[in-house]
Amino acid sequence: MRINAGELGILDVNEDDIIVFEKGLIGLRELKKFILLKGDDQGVFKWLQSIDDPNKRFALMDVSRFISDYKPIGADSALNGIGNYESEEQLDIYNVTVIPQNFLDMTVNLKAPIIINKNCRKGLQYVSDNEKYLVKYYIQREMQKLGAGE
Amino acid sequence: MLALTRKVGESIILNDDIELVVLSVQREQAKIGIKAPKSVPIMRKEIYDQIKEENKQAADTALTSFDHIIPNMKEVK
Repeated sequence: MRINAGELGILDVNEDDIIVFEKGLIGLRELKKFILLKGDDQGVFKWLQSIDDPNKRFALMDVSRFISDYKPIGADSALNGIGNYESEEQLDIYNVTVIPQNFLDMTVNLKAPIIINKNCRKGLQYVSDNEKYLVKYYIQREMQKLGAGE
Repeated sequence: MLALTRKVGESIILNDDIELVVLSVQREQAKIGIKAPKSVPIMRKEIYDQIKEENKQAADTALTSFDHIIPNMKEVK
């Protein structure tokens, strides 16, 4: 099917690739259907493009590539509206980024990751109970600090 | 907004399966206990508002080239 992806152009997508967020995103409940598109060549970023609104898209990244102990899902939490899953391996976890003009001020939301069930293409924005995960984590600044300590 | 007066130890039931208990009250602070199914997201409103604001900002991010961002990021093996 053909979708209007705003600045990304008119795209031909496979209907099976559409990800349904039954409850939308937090504060943007009207956005329910998305498609995941390639971001950069290294695969650090992906675009989560809204199908409902061509002008809404999110630059997502998988921070576990940089923060190896990132585990947002609490052991006893139930993920509602994401369909059946047997283990967390079936789930892809991404973080919403905000990229301002000065890229050093880039933040990732560790508190409320986007979780996608790979098998049934359902997604939700989860809120982690873990108090240490910040909504605005300055990942570039933190990386620089780590780099300087080496 | 509905306003109910409760004493310490008393509860309010929402929708059959959610119970809010007033655990203690000290000056300006009330400690509330919440019993709800695990699938019900519960968070402080400040956090909710922050996530909402962050999502709005993220959605308004102009189409950027990622090229200038990535060289600064190192993968953790």
